[in-house]
Amino acid sequence: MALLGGFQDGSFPLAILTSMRRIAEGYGLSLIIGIPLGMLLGRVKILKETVGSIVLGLQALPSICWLPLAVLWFGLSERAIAFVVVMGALLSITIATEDGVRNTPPLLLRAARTLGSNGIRTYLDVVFPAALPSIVTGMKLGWSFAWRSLMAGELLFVSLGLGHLLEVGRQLNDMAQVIAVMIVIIALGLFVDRAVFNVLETRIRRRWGIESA
Amino acid sequence: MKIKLTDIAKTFPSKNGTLTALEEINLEISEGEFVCLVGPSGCGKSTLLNIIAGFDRPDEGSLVTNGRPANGARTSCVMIFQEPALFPWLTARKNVEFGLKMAGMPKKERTERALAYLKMVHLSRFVNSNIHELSGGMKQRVALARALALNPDVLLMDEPFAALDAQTRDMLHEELTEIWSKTKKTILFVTHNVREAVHLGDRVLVLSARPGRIKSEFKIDLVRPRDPANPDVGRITSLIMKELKEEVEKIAKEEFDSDWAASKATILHSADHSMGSGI
Repeated sequence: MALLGGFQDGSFPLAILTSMRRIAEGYGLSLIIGIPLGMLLGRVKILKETVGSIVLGLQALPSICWLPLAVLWFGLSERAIAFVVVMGALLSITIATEDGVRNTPPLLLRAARTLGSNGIRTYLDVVFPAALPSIVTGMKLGWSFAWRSLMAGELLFVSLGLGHLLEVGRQLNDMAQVIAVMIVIIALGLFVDRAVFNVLETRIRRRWGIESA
Repeated sequence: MKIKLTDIAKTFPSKNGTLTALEEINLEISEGEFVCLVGPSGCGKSTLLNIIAGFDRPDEGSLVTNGRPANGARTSCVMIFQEPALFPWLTARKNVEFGLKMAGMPKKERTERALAYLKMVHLSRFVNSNIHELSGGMKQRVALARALALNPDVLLMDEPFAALDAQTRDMLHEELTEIWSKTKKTILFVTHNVREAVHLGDRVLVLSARPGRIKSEFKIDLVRPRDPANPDVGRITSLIMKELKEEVEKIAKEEFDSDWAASKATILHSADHSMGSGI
C-alpha cells in the first residue's frame, strides 16, 4: 500500500529521479577518471608503485567514511554526495582496468608490433579492447558500490533522494514507507545491474570467445 | 628482399652467469628464397627470428636487409607465430585490416584488400566471423592473410603449424607452397619438424644447441609439389634427422640425469652400423 501510495502522491518518482540523476553524475565521473587512471597505472611503472598502492589502500575504506571529509570540504551540498559516490565507484573501476591492462596477452602486443603498430595506437587499438572484459566487470562492481554510497550519503541529510525518503519514514515512525523505499532501492539497483551490465558483459564475453553462446 | 646476417651473437642473463643463445651466425638469404631453420628446442631459433623481426637486438654482429642496416620492428618483415595471435574483438576481416589501418590506408581500400587476401587463403565465407568461431587451421589462415595483406618482403614464421593436427598441417603446407610461388615472398620458416622443413624449403639449416650456431646446411633441389613418399625426400629427411639428433641428445644430457642415453634402448647405436656389427 505504502508502495503504491508513494508512486501515486509523486514522492517516489521524484526521489527516484533525483537519485538517478545523482548517480549518473557521480558514476559517470568515476568512469571518466577511473578508466584512464587504470590504463595509466597498468602501463607506467612509477605510477603503479606510488598511486597504485594508495588506490589499493583506499579500497579498504568504506566509501561512506569519506562523507565527513566531503562535508568539511564542500558543505552539505550536492557536491559532497557526488564526492562520496565517486570515491565509492572510482577505486574498483580503476583497479579492474589496471588489472585488465596488465593481463593483456604479450603475444597480442607482439603481433601488433609486427603489424606496424606502436605506442599510443597499440594502446588504443589493442590494450584497451583486450582489457574490456575486465573493465566491464569493474564497471559492474563500481555501479553497486556507487549505488550503496549514494543511498548512505542521502540518508544523512535533506537531499530529496531515495535515501532521504528512508530517513523521513523513520522520523514519521512509518515502517511501511521505510520498507517500501527499501524495495524500490533493491529493485532499481538490481534492474540496472541485470539490464545494463549483465547484458553488456555477456555480449563482450561472447564476442571475445570467453563464454560460449 | 635480401637478408644478410654477419657474426650475430646474443646472450641472455641466467641464474648461473650468462646463456649464449646465438654465436657466430652468418647467414645470407636471397630474394624469394624459402629457408627452413631446424634445431632442438632451446637452441635459439626463435631468438634469431626475433632479431630479424626487430623485436630483439643482437649483442654483436650486423643485420643488413636490402643493403641497409635494419633496426626495430618494421612491416617489411612480418612475423607469424605458433599461436594465431588474432585479436578476438575483431572479425576475421577486421583482423586482416589491422596492419593496413596502422599504415593509414583508407577504409574502402583496406576492406577490398582484406577480402582479396582472405580469398587467397580460402576463407571468403568467413570474413565476418568472430575469431572464436574459427577452427585452429582457419585461425592460422587468417593470421597468414593478415601478414600477407601488408605485402611484406619477408615472412618470418615461428613454428606456425606446430599446434595444428596433421591433416590440417599437410593442407596448409600445400597452400603455403602455392602462396609462396604466387607471391614470391622470402620466407624464413622455423620448425622442429624435419619432414616439414624438407617438404617446404629450398634450403634447410640445422642449428646446434647452446650456443646456437649454424651447424650444417642442406640444399633441397627437389621439384615442387613434393611428395612425402618420394624416396629423395625420405633420404634427405633422415640425413637431417641424424644431424639434429646429436644436438637434441646434447641438450637432453644437460637436462636429464647423467645415466640417460638415447641410444641405450636401441640395437643400432648409429645409422652407420649394420645389424650384427657389434658381434
